[in-house]
Amino acid sequence: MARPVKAYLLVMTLLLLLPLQGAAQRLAIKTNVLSLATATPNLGFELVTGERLSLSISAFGSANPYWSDHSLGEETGTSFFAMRPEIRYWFNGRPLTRFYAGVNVLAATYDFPLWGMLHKGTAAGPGLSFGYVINLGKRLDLEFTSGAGLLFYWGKRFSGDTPLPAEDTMPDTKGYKLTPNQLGISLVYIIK
Amino acid sequence: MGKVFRHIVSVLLCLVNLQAAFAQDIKTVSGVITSAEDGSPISDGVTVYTYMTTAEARDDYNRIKQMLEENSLAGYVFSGIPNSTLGNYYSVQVAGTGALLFFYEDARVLRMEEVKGRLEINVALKVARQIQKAVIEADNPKPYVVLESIPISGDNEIASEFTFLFYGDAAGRSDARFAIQAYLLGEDRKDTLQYFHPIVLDGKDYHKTQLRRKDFNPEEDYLYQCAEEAPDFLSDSTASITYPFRFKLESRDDVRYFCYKYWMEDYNQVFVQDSAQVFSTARLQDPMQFLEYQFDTYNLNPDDYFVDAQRERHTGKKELPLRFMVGKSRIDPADTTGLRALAEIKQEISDIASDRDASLKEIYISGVASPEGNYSKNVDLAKARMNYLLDNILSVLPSYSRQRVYQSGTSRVAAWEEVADILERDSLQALSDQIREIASTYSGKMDSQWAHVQRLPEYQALIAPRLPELRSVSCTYLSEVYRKLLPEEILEKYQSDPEYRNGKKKLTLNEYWNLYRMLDDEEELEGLYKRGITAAGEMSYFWPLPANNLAVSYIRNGQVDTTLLKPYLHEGYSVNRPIMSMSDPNKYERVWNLDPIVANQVIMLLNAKSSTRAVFWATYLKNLPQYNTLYHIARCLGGYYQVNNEEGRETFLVVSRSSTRNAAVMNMAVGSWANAEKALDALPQDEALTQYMRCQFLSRKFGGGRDYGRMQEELWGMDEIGLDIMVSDAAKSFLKEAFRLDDSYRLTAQKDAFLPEDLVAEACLEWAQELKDVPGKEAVVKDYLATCLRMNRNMLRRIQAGFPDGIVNAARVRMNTFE
Repeated sequence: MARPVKAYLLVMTLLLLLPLQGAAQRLAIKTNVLSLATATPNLGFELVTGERLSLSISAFGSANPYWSDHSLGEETGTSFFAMRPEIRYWFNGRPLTRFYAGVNVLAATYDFPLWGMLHKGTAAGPGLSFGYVINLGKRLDLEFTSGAGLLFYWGKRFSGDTPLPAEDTMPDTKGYKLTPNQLGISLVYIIK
Repeated sequence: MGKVFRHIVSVLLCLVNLQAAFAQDIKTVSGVITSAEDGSPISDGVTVYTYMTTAEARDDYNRIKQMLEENSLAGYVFSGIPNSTLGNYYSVQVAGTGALLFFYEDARVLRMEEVKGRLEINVALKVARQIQKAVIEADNPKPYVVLESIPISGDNEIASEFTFLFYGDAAGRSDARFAIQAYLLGEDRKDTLQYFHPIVLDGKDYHKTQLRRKDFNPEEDYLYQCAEEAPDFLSDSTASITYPFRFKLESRDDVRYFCYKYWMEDYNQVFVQDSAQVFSTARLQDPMQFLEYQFDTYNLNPDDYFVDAQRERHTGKKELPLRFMVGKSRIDPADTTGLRALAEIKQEISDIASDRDASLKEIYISGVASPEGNYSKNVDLAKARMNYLLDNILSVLPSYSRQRVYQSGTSRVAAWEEVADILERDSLQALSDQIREIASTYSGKMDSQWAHVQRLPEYQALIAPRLPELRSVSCTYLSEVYRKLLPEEILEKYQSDPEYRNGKKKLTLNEYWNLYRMLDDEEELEGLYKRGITAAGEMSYFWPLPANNLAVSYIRNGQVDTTLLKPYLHEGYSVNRPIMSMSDPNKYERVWNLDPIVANQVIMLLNAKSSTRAVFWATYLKNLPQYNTLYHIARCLGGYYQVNNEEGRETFLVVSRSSTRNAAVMNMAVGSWANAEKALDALPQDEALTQYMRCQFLSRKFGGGRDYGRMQEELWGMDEIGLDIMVSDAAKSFLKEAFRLDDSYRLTAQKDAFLPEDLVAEACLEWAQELKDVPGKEAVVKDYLATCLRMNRNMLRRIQAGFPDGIVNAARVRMNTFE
């Protein structure tokens, strides 16, 4: 449990520092309210790099939320952490406004029980996203996002029917999937 | 028989009574018609029908409502009486128990109001703007601008506004920006002389998303700033935008092209843009063009400004470019210019001495020596030279006078810092800095400074040659003149002594005063006025008489000088404002804004075409009855001829009563056509100007034969095209008559935007045809044809059909040379 949290903090600090380098850039901070509703803290930044391009980076993760499935024992809480850098193309020539399409890479570590199975490992893969932004005010946007992509994963998977064995004795699993990987309604605030 | 008769009489009486009873109930009801949407006035297209009973009105109302729904209004005859509106104001006669029906046919809006004894009924009509727009859009898919008028004021200022209508591609959107800017092109149509402040309308979305752009800085973005100023956002309901503008021509003949460009862009691209000319100043509208006025000139009463013979002090000053012998106080004999200057001043002094009325009171010499060499020796030398000069100059005086002259002088040795200043001026910065450093290091030790400067390697080449510049001598003297002569003696002296005449010898103010009365020759007087102004100025004496006399003389000769009277005018004071003398509380030191001076300045400014300034000064004269006409004429020429307040009414009345022609001009200017026509009828009909004004009258009244609505009001029953032809035919024949009486009206018409171009073109062509066979009129025919072509190039074919090639070609050449 401690390791993902540490990693989370580390990456978030990096994320905060990264945009400050480009002082003249336009920078927005955002959070996915849909995610928050599922008790998944998340934070994202978006940096405008041109009339049609922007660079978005978001991170989200969770450690033992209220909906954790403890059926496999008290220790098997849910924890995962993911981050997704993304390049967005804005169709109408004005960034953070109306339709965009994005290319992203999602990277995640996970450790959670699902449908009676314990999943633990790492996943990563490219994805495409599509979204629409409504401008609420001079600095406030509402962003709707959805996306899908390939997800390569490697780690352990263990059926929860039997008591949990030691981690290194769990069977390895590995593969890839075409899966929806993004869904969000975000509030975006333009900091500067 | 008698019984029958009595019956008839009583029946008739009853009828009369009945009618009287009805008549009493008829009321004048008035009100304004506005748009319910934004409260703006609806000044066109609404007809007010009056009904004596509400039942009648309701019948019409229901019937029309139904027909509007069925879209079949054509041919409906209202049972009410139609009344047109005056702008958005109406005033009708209707029974107190009757009703009004407001029908705005274009917008398909119908409204019924029962009078119920009310005298004022204001209505706000719900106008469906979209429908109106859609209708026009179909006819006119491109955006365009509408310009109501291009009036030019007395100081050649053109102030108006044009309206840009959003249609077709240029329809408003919330995610777009619309920007429009007017600019002024010069005569060659290439150089842009002036850009006007742009109007930028941002759509709401466009405006707020600006902040999302990379590197966007609202404080530095000019267009963003302009959009912030805009009263509204661009949206799909934006129908038009008004662009006010104002500029000045240096001369009325300057040809400028007033153009605009606009573009609309969304987040992606500019999707529509265009530029076009709105108008050219070759044709303008000057409502006051034919205003008739003759200004009196206003003299000061000379007796009020009498100057008695008095002791007058005069000062003289002369620079003496002298070169002294090295180390001595004597002048270098080779210095011829210096010696000549010395001789001149000695002559002046001796002139004063020989004038028995004048005496030299003071003489003052100041000399500066250059700093090279031993300082104390320099100081002594400077003093010696000054004394030598005083002696030398005063040697021309007899000893009696000499003892009565106060002599003084100063001499000093220039500092090395002054040398540094000269070097700096000549861009020798380094050397200058060196010298300044020496001067500050050895501050107060003049000889050490000299020793160090002398040792500088550049001394001989760069410093020494500049030293003579510092050496200077000037001589100032003060003399006093006291003469008291009889006027005849003054005239005698002035006429016999050429030196008094040409100004070499000074006259006293008393002598000027007398000469102003006695001389007749204007040119000579103007010279004396100028000398009088200078003489009074030298003595700091408040004496406005010569300046005002000169101004009067200038005004009579048509000369313009608006600076002449300025020293006697002060914006901060009211008219005739005395300032008490500090030394003598019973005397005035001066009087600001003397009314004749203000009046002459107003005339001067009007002649200089500065009518805004003229109106400014004319208001100082507002309460003085003798300047009433001048004040109101100035207001008219300054553009204040509209009757929109009490002052305007007064101006209108005073000016229109001043002459018949002015009555016509003023009534036409305010659109009071019936009175204008009456005034025109009273003018001499055999004058070209009258005929021209009649033509202008028709064009202005009927909008050049295009304002069908007004024509129908006037001449009910004719079809539109027939009316158009009738009015323009009448206007044309007046114009031709004006041409017949005076050829110069060709140019007047060419430059007059009150007359439609086609009208002028047609009139010129027809008049040229009439002149075609008159011998000796060939050049005139060519001029008319050239004007015809300038007004409408498409006339070429008709000209070619009616005239020989030689004339046509000459006309075409003339067309392109500017008149």
